[in-house]
Amino acid sequence: MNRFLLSIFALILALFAGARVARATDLDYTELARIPVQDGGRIMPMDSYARLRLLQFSGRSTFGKRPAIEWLARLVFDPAHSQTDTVFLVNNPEVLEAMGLDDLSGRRFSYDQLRPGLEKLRELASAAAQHEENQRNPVEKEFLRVYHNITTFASLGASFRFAVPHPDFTVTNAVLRAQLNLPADQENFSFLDMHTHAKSLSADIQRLAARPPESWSADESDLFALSSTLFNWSRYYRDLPIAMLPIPAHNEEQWISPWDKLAFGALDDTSSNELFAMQNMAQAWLAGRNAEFKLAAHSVARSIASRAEENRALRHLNLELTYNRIDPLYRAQILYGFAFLLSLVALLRTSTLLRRFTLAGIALALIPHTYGIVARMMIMGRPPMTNLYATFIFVAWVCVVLGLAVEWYQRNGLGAFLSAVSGLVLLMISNRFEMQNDTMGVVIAVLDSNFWLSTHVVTITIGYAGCIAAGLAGHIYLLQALKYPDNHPALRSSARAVYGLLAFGLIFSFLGTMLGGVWADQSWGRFWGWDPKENGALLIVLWCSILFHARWAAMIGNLGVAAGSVLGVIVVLFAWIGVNLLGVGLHSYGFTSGVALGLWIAVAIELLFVAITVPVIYARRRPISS
Amino acid sequence: MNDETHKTSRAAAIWAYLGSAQITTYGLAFLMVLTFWGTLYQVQNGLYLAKERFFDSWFFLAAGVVPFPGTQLVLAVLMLNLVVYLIRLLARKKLTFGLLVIHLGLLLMLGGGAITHLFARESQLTLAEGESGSASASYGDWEVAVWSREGDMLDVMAYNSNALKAGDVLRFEDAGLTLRVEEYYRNARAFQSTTPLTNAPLSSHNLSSLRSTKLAKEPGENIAGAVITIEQQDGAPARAILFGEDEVPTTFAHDGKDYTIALRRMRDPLPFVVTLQDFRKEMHPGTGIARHFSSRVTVSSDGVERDMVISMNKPLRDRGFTLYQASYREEPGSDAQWSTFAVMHNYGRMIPYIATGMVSFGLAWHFIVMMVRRARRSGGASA
Repeated sequence: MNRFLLSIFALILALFAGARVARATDLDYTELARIPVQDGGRIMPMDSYARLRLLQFSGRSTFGKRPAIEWLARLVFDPAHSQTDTVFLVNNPEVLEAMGLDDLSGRRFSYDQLRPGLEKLRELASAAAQHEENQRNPVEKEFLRVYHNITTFASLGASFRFAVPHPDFTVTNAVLRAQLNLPADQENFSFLDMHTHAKSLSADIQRLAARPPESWSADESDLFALSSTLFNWSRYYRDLPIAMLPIPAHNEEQWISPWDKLAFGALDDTSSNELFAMQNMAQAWLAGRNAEFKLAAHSVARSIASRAEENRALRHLNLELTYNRIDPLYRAQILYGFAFLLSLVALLRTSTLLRRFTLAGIALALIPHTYGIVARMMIMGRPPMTNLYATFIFVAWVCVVLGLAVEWYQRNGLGAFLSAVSGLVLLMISNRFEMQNDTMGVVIAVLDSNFWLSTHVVTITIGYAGCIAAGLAGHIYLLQALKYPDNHPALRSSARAVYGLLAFGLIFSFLGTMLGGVWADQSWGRFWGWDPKENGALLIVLWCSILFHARWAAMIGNLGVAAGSVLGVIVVLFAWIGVNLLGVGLHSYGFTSGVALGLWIAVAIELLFVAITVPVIYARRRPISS
Repeated sequence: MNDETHKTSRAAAIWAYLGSAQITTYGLAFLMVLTFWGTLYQVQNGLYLAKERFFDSWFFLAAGVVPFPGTQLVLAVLMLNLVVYLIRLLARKKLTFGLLVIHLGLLLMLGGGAITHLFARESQLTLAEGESGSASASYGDWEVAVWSREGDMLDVMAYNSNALKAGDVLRFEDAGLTLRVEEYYRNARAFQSTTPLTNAPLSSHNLSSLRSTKLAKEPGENIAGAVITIEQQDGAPARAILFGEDEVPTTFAHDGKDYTIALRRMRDPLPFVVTLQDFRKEMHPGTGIARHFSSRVTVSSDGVERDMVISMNKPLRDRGFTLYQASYREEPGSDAQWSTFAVMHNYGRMIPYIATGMVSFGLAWHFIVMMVRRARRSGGASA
């Protein structure tokens, strides 16, 4: 029996180890992944940029089981071959219908597939953009989202066009070639080549423009044509990604894209070297020359990093790369999953060995989970909860630790089960938020205070976690009371867990709410203002207090406290997520679209759960007590 | 059992019930309903109206007909409940240290809330760069102010105009002025006549009439308006239109002196002068997300000047007043910037801090005591 269990455990671990091993490829992307990029107000490695864009388009962080960076490289260096990549996630079939693409099936589509309906989509999206954001219906939001993704895709496709030879810059005229001092063995040039070589001729071109075109010689006409092409290109290719070049003028803070740099005119030696390194990188990629590709990418990364040495974010690029590669929260999730399965069996069979395995699984899962939280804090230089995604991860962590505390107290598998369930479920929910935005994005001005973020927000979030854990224990109590109404020791133990966790939740919710008041008093001058988020936190405190006072007044018993703690989950969800959906008040930031449905479902499930279990338990119990 | 003891036992029962956890449970439940309802109400009606209806009220009518207790009433009941509970707790000498501290802290918090509710003053000060101010303006309260200039001194007299209605009479005794209110609107729109009027009313902006309009979600968006008659001791009374958005106040002569009259947001004089030197706004690079706002100001009081930066989470505190960076304004196409400070004056400011400390300490104490006791008990049971 024991050996059997051990072998299952080993098998599980082996499966896990094999879950995300990258396959070898012909090109090495590590150097490209390392290039710093500015996006959404922060500096990140190109690797994160690629993942964010891919997540934004497709809701996944890999494409065809390949890392996002490979997909991005193909898109920027060879856009023509990216148009069949099925990266556009369309959540609502009505969008396809409206685009006249009813015959398409599936959820993700390529640029080529969507192209016939693009004009219509543009029309629909610009109509939707006329409405205020909270006035848009879900279909309109989806029009805008998909259209925005397609335009972003198109601009990414153009972002490296300066570096690739183009027929517009094929120069065969010998006189012109001599004038431009072009290398003898090359006829096809990139915009960057021509931009650099034509610089010296700007005076000639101006003189030429002053004379009537009839008086130009054939060579002069060619020169002028070339100069107009350059001019048209620089007019056309503007406001494009990817912001890879820091401008020294703004304290190294403003980063611009290569195209913007070219549009600014004069290039100094450093920028010129960087741009040519980018060109080498693009051309080496296209030719499939690995060593050259790596070398060019390396010199781009090094040159930019050396110029922006002051920037704090650059110090954590490697950490972010490691974080991306390890994907710690995904690993934690899988381990919690196994721990959950083990703990289920452990609860049913009351096997000490199984209980130990469960605890080992949870402890193993806590390693990447903790690493994930700490790494995110270091990368952002912020406490671990600047957006909903981060709060979910943190709440999951606290719930797991609370579960372990209960286990330490009671040693009967209940706490371990609680840990595994909360870790698994909350991290799975957090995945839904990861899709929506940069999870390490910048914070708005009102949150710009690490001290208060780390006191008020951390405390209140621990309070949420305490109440959620109490709610989970409440579920367990109700299920036990339903299934084994006579197992009094088990019921008592669960009731005690509910009670303790609820008290823990109350303490931290209260402290967090009041610290919020202190923060509000410090920054706005009023301790309490009935703002929705304040009210939400207050509701948790009130609900917990009601349960304790009602219990004390003997208005409810253990069953009531357990049912109340399950309903408390609804109160927490309202305070934590619901008020952000209301769209009013000082706290109405954070990305929340699409969350509402999930929230309603959760509320409905909890209500149903209580409405079904409690009457049944109560009805069975009545004859005994009366 | 005689009547006397029956009565006392009934009184004792009522007394006990007043301090019971049952009352607390009901009170907290009502408070929860009010909080939830008031939060949802804000979506449609804004914070100010929600506060007026749910949180600053003793009673309100639900759905227009059903009387429902307001937050003030519920809090008063809870406070009574708490006081009785504490007295009973002390009288019976049945003290649990943690519970006592928690509930004393809560009592202090409710008391502090009452002080703030009754006495705190909240106003705003908006300054352009380079401008100085020594009085803040209320957000939602209005006043009719009359002043005359004597040399460098302004002699200002003002009436709170929140409850003004047609037919009210305002007397400014020192100046011997009597103003009769003909029309008053909490939120008004003003109209100018296109044709020149005979017998035009006094108005610095040539207004000809006012019309009432619906109250706005935000009290700051309401613009009060009034039509008044200035009674002259000798000569015919003069009719004046005062509109809250008049940039230049209306002037008139009375008793050989020049007077200025304005309907304006209520002024709260500050014990110092604030000069806005520079307003700064930083954005996260390459985004439209604000990162940081700050105002460099000079504060002068008693002839001494000092420079300081007021920013988010870093207010100016001086003589019981606190100034916070609240918002800003920019004119498109120009460099001009305005910075708005929220001005607070609150004697009860520190109370919630102390109360929070007490309650949190009490909760933690009680929790730990219970955990230790339980651990001992279960340890004893297994032994």
